[in-house]
Amino acid sequence: MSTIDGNASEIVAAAAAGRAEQRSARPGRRRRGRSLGLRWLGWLFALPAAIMYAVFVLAPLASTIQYSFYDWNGIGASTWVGIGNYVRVFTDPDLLAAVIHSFVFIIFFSLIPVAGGLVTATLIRDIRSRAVSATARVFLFLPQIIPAAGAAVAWTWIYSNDGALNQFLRFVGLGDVARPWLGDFDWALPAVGIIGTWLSLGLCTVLLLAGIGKIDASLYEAVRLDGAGWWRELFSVTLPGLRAEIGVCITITTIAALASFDVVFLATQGGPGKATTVPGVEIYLLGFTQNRVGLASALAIVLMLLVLIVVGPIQRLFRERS
Amino acid sequence: MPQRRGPAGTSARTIPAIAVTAIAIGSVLGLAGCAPGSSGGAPTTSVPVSTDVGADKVELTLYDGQGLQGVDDALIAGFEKDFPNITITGSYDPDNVHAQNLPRTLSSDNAPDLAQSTSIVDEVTDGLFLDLDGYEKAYGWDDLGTQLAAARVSDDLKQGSGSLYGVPYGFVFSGVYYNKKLADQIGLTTLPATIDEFEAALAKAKAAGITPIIAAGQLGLGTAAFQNLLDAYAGAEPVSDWVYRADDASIDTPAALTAAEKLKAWIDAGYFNADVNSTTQDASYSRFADGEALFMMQGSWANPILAKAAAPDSYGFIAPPTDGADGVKTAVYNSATIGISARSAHPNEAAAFLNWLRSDAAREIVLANGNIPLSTGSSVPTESGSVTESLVSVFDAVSADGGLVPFVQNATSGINNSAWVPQTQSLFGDQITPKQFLANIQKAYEDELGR
Repeated sequence: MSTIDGNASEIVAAAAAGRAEQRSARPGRRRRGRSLGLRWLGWLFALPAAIMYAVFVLAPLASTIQYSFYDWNGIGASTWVGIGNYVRVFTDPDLLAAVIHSFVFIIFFSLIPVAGGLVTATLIRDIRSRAVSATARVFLFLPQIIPAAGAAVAWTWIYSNDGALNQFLRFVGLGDVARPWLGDFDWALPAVGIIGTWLSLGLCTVLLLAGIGKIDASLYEAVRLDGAGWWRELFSVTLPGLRAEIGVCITITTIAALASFDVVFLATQGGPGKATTVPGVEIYLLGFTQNRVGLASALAIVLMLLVLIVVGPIQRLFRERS
Repeated sequence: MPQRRGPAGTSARTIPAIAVTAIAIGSVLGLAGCAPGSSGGAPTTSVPVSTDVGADKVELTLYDGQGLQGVDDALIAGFEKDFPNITITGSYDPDNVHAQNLPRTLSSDNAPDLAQSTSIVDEVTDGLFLDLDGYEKAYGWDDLGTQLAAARVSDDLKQGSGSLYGVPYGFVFSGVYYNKKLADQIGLTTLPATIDEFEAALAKAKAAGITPIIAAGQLGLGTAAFQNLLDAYAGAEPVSDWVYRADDASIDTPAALTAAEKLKAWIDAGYFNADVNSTTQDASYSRFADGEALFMMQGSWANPILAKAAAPDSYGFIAPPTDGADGVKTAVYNSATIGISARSAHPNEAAAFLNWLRSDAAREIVLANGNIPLSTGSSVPTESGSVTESLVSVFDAVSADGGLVPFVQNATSGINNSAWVPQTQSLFGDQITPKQFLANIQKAYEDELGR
């Protein structure tokens, strides 16, 4: 089951390995004879890391794949069920709903924070006062420092019947709109999603701010001399210059959305009903409370493949063309 | 031309990497051997049964949930005073974690000697608990009668009868707490005993602008309200059979439908707190203690918590309402049952602890910690007029009526999360009808039991 947490690091590692490979490709072609020995020496240096990787990433992944073909309670004897668990993952409405919810979360965990982060980053860049912009950065990054679990607990208070949000709504005369947000079948999913938005907005803003800092200032000067406004500047200079950073933001936050667990588990446990359940929570409940290790493993593998299928094209789309 | 990666342009260099990964995964699969979990059962202890624990120093370990840590620690201290050569070290996990970890802990190399279990039939199925029939005979535990029923598992792995796998040291059971001040306020001079009387009290409270019942639906505790009605309408035996997984047992019955429809009527009438589905258990305790609601359907375990949050004479406890004046008194109960690990090296000393749990000293400790002690014939003194006294007298009355029913959430290890929590939330949230509610629960039950 460690594959959920492993996803992000695996992808980053694979991407890094790919880049390193590309860089080393050229000198290797020139001096073929020596490089063959060097290549094996390289594997030798990588051996300690490779062993750790095999033991802590590949072995659990392999067991997860193996378990996913069995009906097993985690303790007693197991029965081979072939692809039965996978069939169940794709036919059980609860499990399918979990997958759909995680896609809805992409809007809240990824799209809104990246769009909001872009706007915020450009606004902060325009702030002349250093003190004000530094303060803004600190406050925006604060949610990133707070553990998601703590944030989820705090937000459950905000969302509760007598919580800050409902008090505010009643104060401004919108008492009819006030409701126990996390207990409402229609509103619980977006309410949990907004916790995710709050969590990832700071990360996106800070990453994008760093990217904007790298854009050549003369480009901004040039478009301004050409009479471009704020929007023109955003689309002609900032966005193209931030291509790689936006790619990283979308990748990280999309994985966070698809593999979400902590926020949902602490805020709602997937309820009310199954209104906010996500694959991460279902895997946990199946594996640890229902003792259905096989089905939980199958769902974990499906989740891993889903993340790869979604994140793969994103990586390709945002790769820098040099 | 820049080198492209990906399916179309898989370079020659990536092939060795793929091969290495494939070999790595393949070899791990190979090493793991055949099917998971089939690598031999746990070695079972082979110490002959004896009630003599000698004078040699023996160290035992006990594993339990944190909710019972207070009473466990007190029991251990009491036992060690009587048996100075035996020391017991307790280790505790949060209650939900304990239930999940128990099978893993019992099958590990350093399994605890003693462990509390709420789903004993699962551990027995996996061969993790020692068969205690020998000790039952040697110590004469059979005088505990039906109190041991939940700790028995038959050869075809049905709970309720058969060999003994544990000894309960105390019981928790669920009933109805009421706020005395609010009861006076709405003129509730006699406490409701039947469902009709209870319903009339709910209507009076609602009319007076008081929340009639507060329930913690975030954890699916609306189930308590349903089961109280179910037990009253269906009777103790059919519900117990369902929980104990009797062949062809069903919860989709006319009596259950009456119960679900009654609950739905109460929900629709606004007899529960409006935010039931997002109310946590802790919040429900403190809000009841603060006088927000007239009733709270909760267990005996809530009394020590309420005693800290509210004045002791501000609330009381009654049995769940019955179906008509001559209806059987029922209540949902569970026992804290301690079994001995099949891997224990000191089963005789562990059994001495189980036997000591029947002593008056142990029973006083159990009661002082908010649990209902084993009934052995001798009575444990309680403070007159206290909630504890009501708890004990309600429990006695219900057990005398033969109305103790196990929690429906305990029918299988996963059914609470897979069915009771989401389905009660859906019923409270007006997403499903009472008929669908029962059908969905029964479907999950049959699915988990592989029927």
